[in-house]
Amino acid sequence: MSLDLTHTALQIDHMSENIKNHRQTHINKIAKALDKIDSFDFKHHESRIENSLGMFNWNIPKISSGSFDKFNSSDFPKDYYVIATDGSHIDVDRHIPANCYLINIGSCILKYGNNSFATLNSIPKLYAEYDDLIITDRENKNKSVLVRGAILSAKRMLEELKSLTNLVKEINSGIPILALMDGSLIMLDLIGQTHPEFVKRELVQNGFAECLDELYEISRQKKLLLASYISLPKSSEVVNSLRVSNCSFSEIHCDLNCSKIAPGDRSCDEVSNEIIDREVFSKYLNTGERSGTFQIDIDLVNDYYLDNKIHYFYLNTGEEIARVEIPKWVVEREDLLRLTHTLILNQCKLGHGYPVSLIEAHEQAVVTSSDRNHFAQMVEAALDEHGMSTYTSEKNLSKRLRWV
Amino acid sequence: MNQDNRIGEVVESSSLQFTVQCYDLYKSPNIGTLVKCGTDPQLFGIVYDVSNKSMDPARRPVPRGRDENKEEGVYLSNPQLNRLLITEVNCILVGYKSTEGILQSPVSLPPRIHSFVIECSEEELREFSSTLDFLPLLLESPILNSIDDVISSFLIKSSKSHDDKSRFLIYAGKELAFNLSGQLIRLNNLLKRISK
Repeated sequence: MSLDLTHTALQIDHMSENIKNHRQTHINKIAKALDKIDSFDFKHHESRIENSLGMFNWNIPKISSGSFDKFNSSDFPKDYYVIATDGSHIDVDRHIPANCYLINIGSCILKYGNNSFATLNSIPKLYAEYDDLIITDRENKNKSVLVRGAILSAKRMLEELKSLTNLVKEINSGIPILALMDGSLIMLDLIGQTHPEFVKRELVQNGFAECLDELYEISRQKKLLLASYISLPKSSEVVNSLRVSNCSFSEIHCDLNCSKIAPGDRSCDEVSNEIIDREVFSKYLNTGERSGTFQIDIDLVNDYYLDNKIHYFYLNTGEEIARVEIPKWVVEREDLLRLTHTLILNQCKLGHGYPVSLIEAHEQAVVTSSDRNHFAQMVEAALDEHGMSTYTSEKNLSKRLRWV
Repeated sequence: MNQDNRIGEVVESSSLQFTVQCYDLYKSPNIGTLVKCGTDPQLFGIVYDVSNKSMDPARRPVPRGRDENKEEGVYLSNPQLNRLLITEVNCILVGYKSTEGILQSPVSLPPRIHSFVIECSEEELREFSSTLDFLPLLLESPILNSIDDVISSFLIKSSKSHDDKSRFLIYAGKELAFNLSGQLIRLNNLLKRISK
């Protein structure tokens, strides 16, 4: 039986009513957050964080004195490259008769200006060797984990960055190159889950961070900009940082002071609870403007990204508030930061709201459900051709052969 | 093989017609052009339809030139368009080359996918159009209604490849009259077109 839409419709109605009732409270919170930003005292914030001795429970970025400044884009160069990569994967599936996964990396190179051109490409890679299917602790070979689910997503992200690095290396030109990734520069799949330390060391420190190091080295010879673009971000780190100055206790100690106060009733909730950064920045930034930069301050980056600190800014593209993440070396050079802002804004314009290079890289990378079915059939056919019996689960068979 | 005249490759084919995806956007032969493809045997086709479109049927082109002064600006600002848009050419099969020479008759097998498609030289056009035995194939073609435009374009192009243009057109007119004896209005229209 399909979904009972009549029953669901009533629940959707109820949900809409709830959202409507809370709307004014929500708008008021955003207005208060904006007031807080306008009167933000950087030194006060810094001293309160220092005095909290790490007892502030919220995940907040490192804020600098210019974080809440606003910046306009500048003129963009006539000649430049934009390179983007994106990936899709087919996860290990116990219902098909081979233990394997596939990562498809799509790429897009756009050259603007004189002799403009585009190169669109996709490279699928099947991983089926024993070493591909597990990650082993280099220091203790008895410890290993299977590559699938979140770990496979992280590995795919690493492959996207490797591909981006290789494409950047292939360009021998002195003109600016914007290397763009979809989503975050943080390997979010490895946050908040109990992945062993050696997995993070292998994928992040020995993989992602090494690639970032390589890109940094390239940036010393070429005018390279590295960024990742998050559309419709749902993060609330900046808003959470406003909690610091709104805390009514003389010393910040979340567990001690507020563990018995219901969420919504704490003094800091007045400016922060249930609102997210983009809601605030949509009122704060005018079209085309970006915020100052904020530095991500989380354990994964601090422990495994080596020297590659990641920063971000919010950008009003005219269509949405986007979050753009950039490495430290882009933030440290005003010209690179300004150019990143300008080129990404132009990419959004060309892509009718979303960076055109990422659209095309995604189109190259995407693996449709039909592709997935073909892949499974090809695996079965290939095994069959080699005289090996194929099998599938009874559950999968029952889905294929639907009977009454 | 003359690579300069190669226009693209066969991407779809049947024993009646084939579709060519051109190598370059907007670089296609005109309607009525004689093309060849395949090697054993070499097949001949006449272009009857040219289309420009998105490579992915699910991705429809959208306007991009609001801020551009010239149309070329749209392509310069969006270099990916040359990879995402394609020009396709549909050709009707009209004969093939055998050991006995060119035969203007239906083909028994369609061209292979990825066969290179080459625009015929003037010499080949002259040789092919020295007889017009294939005209009934075209005139009775179930493929499209505007086949008469294709025929007249082909005959005009062919006439230019012959030393005696008028003599060729008189010959073509007689062939048309023979094949369209019961369709005077259609014959009249066709004759008017090729005599312009």
